[in-house]
Amino acid sequence: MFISSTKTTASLLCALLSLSLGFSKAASAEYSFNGFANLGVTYSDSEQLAYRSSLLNNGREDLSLIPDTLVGLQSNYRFNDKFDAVGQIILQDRDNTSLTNFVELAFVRFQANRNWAFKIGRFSTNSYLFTDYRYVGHLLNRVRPPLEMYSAAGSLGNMDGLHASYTMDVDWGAIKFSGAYGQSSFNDTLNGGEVTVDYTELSSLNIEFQSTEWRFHMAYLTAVMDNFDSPDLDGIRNLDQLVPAIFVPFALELKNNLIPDGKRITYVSVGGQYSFDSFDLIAEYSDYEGEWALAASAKSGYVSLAYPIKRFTPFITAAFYDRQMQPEIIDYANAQAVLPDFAFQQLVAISAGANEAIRGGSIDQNSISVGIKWDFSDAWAVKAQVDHFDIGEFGSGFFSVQEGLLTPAEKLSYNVFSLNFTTTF
Amino acid sequence: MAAKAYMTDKSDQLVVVVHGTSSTEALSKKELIDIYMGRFKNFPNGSTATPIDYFKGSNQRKAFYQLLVGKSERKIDAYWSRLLFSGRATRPNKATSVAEIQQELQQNPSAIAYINAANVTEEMKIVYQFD
Repeated sequence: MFISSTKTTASLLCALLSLSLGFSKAASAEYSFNGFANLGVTYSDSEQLAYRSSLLNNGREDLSLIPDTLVGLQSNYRFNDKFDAVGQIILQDRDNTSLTNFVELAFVRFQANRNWAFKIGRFSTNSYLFTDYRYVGHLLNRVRPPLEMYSAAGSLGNMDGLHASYTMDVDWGAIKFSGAYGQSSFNDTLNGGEVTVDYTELSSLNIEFQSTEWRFHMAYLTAVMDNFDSPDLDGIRNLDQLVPAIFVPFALELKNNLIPDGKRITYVSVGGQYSFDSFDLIAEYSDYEGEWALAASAKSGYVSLAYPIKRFTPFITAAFYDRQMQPEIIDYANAQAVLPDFAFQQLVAISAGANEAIRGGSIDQNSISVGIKWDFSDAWAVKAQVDHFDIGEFGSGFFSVQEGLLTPAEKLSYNVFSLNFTTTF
Repeated sequence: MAAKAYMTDKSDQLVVVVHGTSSTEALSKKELIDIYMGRFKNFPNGSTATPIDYFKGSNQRKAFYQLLVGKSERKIDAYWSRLLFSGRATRPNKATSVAEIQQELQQNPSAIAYINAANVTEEMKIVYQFD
């Protein structure tokens, strides 16, 4: 824990140092200061759900200027031909306002030679095609990357550690091989209390094929979760010692599903983008394996097609997120089969809170989005987008549930209307 | 604007130049793309490459990228923004005039720039010519 705290602190200091150097030396050739901004208005039409663009953000109901609005600030500092540093912060509507949730990049890079480069600090996991610039709305046709793949990217979108890359020259472009090792952390808020978990022994491997008209990307991430902390955790850790013997097996099952310490997660993703002057085709697929009930195994993906017409780019996207585990904290069917009825009812009551937490985080949905981007100037663009979500039973985990309500049990449809202004500077 | 229409005579021809003492003698179009599209930060022989761009909106810049990769200036700006905000690379240095380019090439042995053939000086070395 001390080592991970030291790494995080060092990364944050690097970011702040780099940013401060950028502010003070913005005009120098060795320093540069840049940024990007999205100003968005969204309207969501559910009486049960509140829209958010990331699992780390607050849910907002009805009409709101907050969910898609953000500012990104970046400073680059070039020490010499071999060393440079990058710091980037993202100011967005985070549920948990820990500083670490706002620092996206904070690293020093060593360019050893033409092919090899090394980084230390905080950098992108590059888990998907757009992970490393998913916040820069101006560079995307859509208002935001598909939630089905990118809402959860904030949890593992970056990491603290060491990174190495080798870029190979090929006739049609380049192939970049990357590997990294380190750790990341998830910091969120639940029921007024902080929820944290560390992703330790985090390893990532990436291969990216780049040509002028297309790029193809593959990634593999694996980590071991540890140091899970949440409100009422002590009660959960000791639950098997507090309940009558008849409930002990189920208490252990609940504890095993809710506390992820020591459990491994794995991501595998493939994606490609093919761009011509006449159209832009993007497709990605991800397979996530995890034994933690609050972040259960799932498969997700999308296909997106855009057709630029001068400065207008209409687009359409179809996406899916299929959970691979049912949202239950324990196997209630099995419990009902082995317990007397009164005991089963007691078990249901004891586990209700934990079960609602699992259901609240469970995700199962498909979506279709249509929209248009207008690059009305070189520095600004405006986008309009409509997202239609078909959500499965207890599958609304991408969104918040409005206060006082339980996670919707039934299937439901949910629409979000977005208008977004974007710029870079 | 058609890139080749811009080069109405030989003096308008765009050429790519480096410092006269550079160890790089010639570049292929692929090697030039690698540098100006941020794939590599070094010349093929391993020495550092510092690419220089004309200012945004200039005819030279528009023509250069059309000839190099067939992309509009707006697409190139978006491409470089992607590299910048992903932390992969910084944009090429900007020059606002021929004089600035000539000065940079005189002072920086790692500089590489595109320039009209008529503006090439004896301190520069041509490593690529567009037809």
